[in-house]
Parts: sequence; structure tokens; C-alpha cells
Amino acid sequence: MNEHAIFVPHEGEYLAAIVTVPDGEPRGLALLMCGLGAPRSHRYQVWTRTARQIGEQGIAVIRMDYAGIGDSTGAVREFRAESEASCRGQAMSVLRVGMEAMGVQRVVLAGNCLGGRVAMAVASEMPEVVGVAGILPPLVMPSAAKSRLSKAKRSRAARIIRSNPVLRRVVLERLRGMEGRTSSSVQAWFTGTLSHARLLFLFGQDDHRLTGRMKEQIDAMLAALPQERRDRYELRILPQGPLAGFESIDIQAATIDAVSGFVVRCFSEPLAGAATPTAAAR
Amino acid sequence: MPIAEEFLERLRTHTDLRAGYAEEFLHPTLGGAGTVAVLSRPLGPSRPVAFVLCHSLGQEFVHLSRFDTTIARTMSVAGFPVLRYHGQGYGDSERGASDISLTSHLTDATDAVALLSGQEGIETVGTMGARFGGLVAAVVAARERLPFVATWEPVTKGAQYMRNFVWTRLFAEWAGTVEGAGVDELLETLETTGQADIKGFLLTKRAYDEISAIDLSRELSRFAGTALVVAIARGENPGPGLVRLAEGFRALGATCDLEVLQDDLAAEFGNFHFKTSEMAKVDTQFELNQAIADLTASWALRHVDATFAAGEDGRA
Repeated sequence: MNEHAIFVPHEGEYLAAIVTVPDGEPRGLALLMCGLGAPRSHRYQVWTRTARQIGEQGIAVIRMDYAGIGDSTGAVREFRAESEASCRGQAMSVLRVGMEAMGVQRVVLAGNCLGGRVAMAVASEMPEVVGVAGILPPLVMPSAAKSRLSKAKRSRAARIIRSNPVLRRVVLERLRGMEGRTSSSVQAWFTGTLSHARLLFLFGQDDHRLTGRMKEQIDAMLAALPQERRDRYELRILPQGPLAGFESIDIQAATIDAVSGFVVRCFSEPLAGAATPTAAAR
Repeated sequence: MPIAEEFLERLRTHTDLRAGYAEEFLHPTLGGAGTVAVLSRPLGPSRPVAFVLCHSLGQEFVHLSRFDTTIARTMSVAGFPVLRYHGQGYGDSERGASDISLTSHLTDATDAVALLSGQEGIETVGTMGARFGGLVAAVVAARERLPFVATWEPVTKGAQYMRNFVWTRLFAEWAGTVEGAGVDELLETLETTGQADIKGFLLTKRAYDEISAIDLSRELSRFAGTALVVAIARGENPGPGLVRLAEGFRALGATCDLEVLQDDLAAEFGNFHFKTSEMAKVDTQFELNQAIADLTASWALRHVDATFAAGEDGRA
């Protein structure tokens, strides 16, 4: 196994990436993406370690920096909704370079936070994708009312509420009921991904992002799909604690094992009923 | 189908014609194992001094990664080649966090100086670094008798730095993001098992002991080159530790510029720096990064030109 550091051209910028090349002919390619702000190796080398663990199983891996992050060129002072579409294009550019270099036609995508959304967006457009793993994907956007409330977090009233466990519990219950909905984009990516790929959502116990509202929204999206596609979806909750920030060594190890295992499974077990990539898609 | 090695090799470099620099990925051996480095060079003629950029410790490596990139590119546009690298235990390096210590940081940086010195067209090498990377840069510059060193809000007392580092674990517990022991119990774990989990960072006893023992003012027993110490502060005055550091440099016969860059979020330098605002996430360090880079490039231009105009070889 060896690694190549590369700059991938993309719309006038250069995206830094590391390609992990396994010994022998690769069985497939995995692309690892971060959330906003983290470089390609991710916190505590989580993606570097994941890439090498997957590489040991004969699968090539790329981990990338978005434009304006890590060693990529470009400048990102503000990250807005339209930046997500740009990230999708960047991921596809890196993916195509990786597929060409490795000579593979099947890929798996894994992304943390924003990277999970980008992975689904890419998968819904690329039939070559056979699996997506989203770690803490932000699927449900906050409602306008909740956005306004979140701005008041530093107020005196908020401090009083935080300091009182009973008040805090009551207010949190009410806030959970004010959560928003999945956007039409998320719904399209979700169903588009499951049309030809496995989809794993990974959370940790006590992750605040996995709310009852989010589960309801996911169930609603699944209910609209035929059984065969529903069976491609998996929600896994790691018992080691919250995944946000990978703030314990046990959580890092559990995440690496879960993502590596999923990637290997995507290339080892055929997906019943999955569309084979067409020549045009290649 | 064979792997397209030549295709990947062609992608190892890029050139930014608009900004005026080029970059090349290297796969050197630093600290006894493989890693990744980036060499930034000006597109025009290079000045006679190149810099090794030493990264900080733990999560500051991640949070300052874009800062380091901004520094490297700004310096290159000004004519100075800059090498940034991933030390062992960080980023794309071969080894894991159990290898991280003060010794590993110093060895990686010293090897990086040797690597950069051997690159074509490079006559003299200096060091730079932010926070703990600033401490490493200063120690390596002194030990290797390098002519130039630039530090941004450098750590000056390892013991205080380690105390704060361990306390972050306790703050995280108070905030409810991690579960576990208090500081005393953590230190006991460190003593008995040789390592502790500090918010996901594997802190070894060796790293804790080595870093706690270093005091930059005492460590710098010789340095007669040119130094820059940049304080990032809310007010007009630098912290007392940086004043002492600058005085220490001068007492050794060095030329030292102590500069203050004011920023309302100075205390967050080295921390996570994206904040959610109306419909966007904003990098709160974006302008600060460029301001520090511009100040450093001006310092380097001023002093390097003066040194070499005087016919000195810059050796400290």
C-alpha cells in the first residue's frame, strides 16, 4: 500500500487530496469527505486511519480538502447554501480523477456532517456509487422560529434556563417540537442514493443531532420507497458516545471500524436489484 | 488495469499564475517515518532565505492548518520558499498520536530544515510557527543556529500550556460533550497507564512531562539572528510572556521585532474559528490570518534584504 498526494484541478482551483493505493489491483474506490473546516485527514487523523484500514482490504481511497480548506487553493470566508453545490462539484472532480487513476467503476462515499450531505448529493447523480456513509449528516434544517431562538442563546434568560435542570428539560422538549423539515434537496438525494446504493447513517449515543423529529422525517422518506430500496438503508448508533468532534479515542476507533466495515461490505456483497453502471454513465 | 502512477505524479504540483506561486507535494521521511509536505515557491526569482513552517500541537494543528497555508503562500508570493509538513502523529503522517512528544516535534522540524536546505536554489533556512509551533520554531532555530525565526503567539511556558491543555478536558465535561474523569484523576491515569484521552487526543506521559519541563526563555541560551514575535491581542499590549521572550532574544544579541496585532477574537487564535451567523458559517480568523501573513512577509523582506545587503550569510 502506498499514498500519493495530488492537486486536482477544479474550476480554476486546485483541490488537495491523498490517494491511498492498495497492493494489487483495487477492488473499488472510496472517497472520504469532511465537514466544514476540517482538513482531509480529519481530526485526530480519523480519515487517514480509515483510509489505511480500507486500503488493507484492497480498496483504493481518496481523502480531500474542499477549496479554501487545508492545502487546497481558493478562499472561503463565508460558507453559504450555494457553497454546498460547489462542494458537490469538487467531490465529483476528485472522484473522477481517482476513478481514472485507479481504473475502477464502483465507488463508495463517506462524509462527516456537511460531507454526508455532499456524499448523498453526489451519489444521487452518479450510478457508479454503490454505497454512502453519512456521519452525523444534518438532514433536518432548523425552522425559522428555532433559528431566531438559537440567536438568543447568550441572553440572560437563556443562562437562567440552562442553569436550572427542570426548566432546561421543559424548554428543550418544546424546542424539539419546533424543528424543521428535510428540504426537497435532501429528499431527492436520499431517494436518489437508495435507487442504486446502500445508505448508512452513523450517529453516536447522545448525539443531539439525532432527534425524534429527524427519525420521523427519515421514516417518512423511507415509507415512500419500495421495500427493496428501504432495505438498503441502515441507521447505526454507536454506543461509545457522541460522534461530534470525535472527542474520545474509543469513538474514533468505533467510527473508523464502522465506516471501514461498511465500505468493504459495499464492495463484497452485491446489492440486489442495483442498476449496473451504463457505458454512458462511465 | 494498472494504476496510473504517471498520471498521479503529474498532479503532484500546481501553479497559481494569478497569485504568483507554485506548490509541490513531497513525500519525505521526517522523524524516522514517511509523511507529506508541501513546498511553496515564488514563480519569479527566490530570495536567499527559505522557511520551514512548524505546526502546533493537538487540535491546534487542525485549527491552524489554513493559517499555515495562508502564511506559506503569502511568503512565497513575496519571494520566500516555504516548506510546511505533517509531523509524526499528525495529518497524513505514517505514525499515530502515541508518537507525539516535544522530541517528535523538534526532530520533525529539524529534519524538515535539512530537507529544505537540500532543495535546489535554497541558500539559507529559517523557521516559523504559531502557538506550540512557535516554541518549536524558536528552539530549532537556536539549536541549529539558523538566522531567522518568526513566531506568532508562541507558547513560552510548557507547564502552563499543558495545564491548559488538560483543563480543556474538564471544560468539555462541564459542557457535557465528553464523559470522564476530573483533572486529578486524568493526571493519575497519565502517571499509572502512561497515557490519557484528552478530548480525543492521546496525550502520553512522555509528551506531558517533556512539554511541561520546557521554558522557552531558559531554552534559548543562544540565538544571534533575527526574530519576529507577533502577539495576537484584544488590546494594544502584548502579554508579559511575549515581552520576556522578545527581551530574551535581544539579550542574546538577536534583533527582535515584537509586533501586536489587535483582534477582538484574539483568545480564540488556534481554536475552532467558524461561527454561524445569518444563513452562513463565517471563518472568524480569515482576515486575521492574512494580516499576520502580510506583517510577516514585510518583516522578512525588510530584514532579509538588510542582512544580505550587508554581505552577511545570515548564519546566527
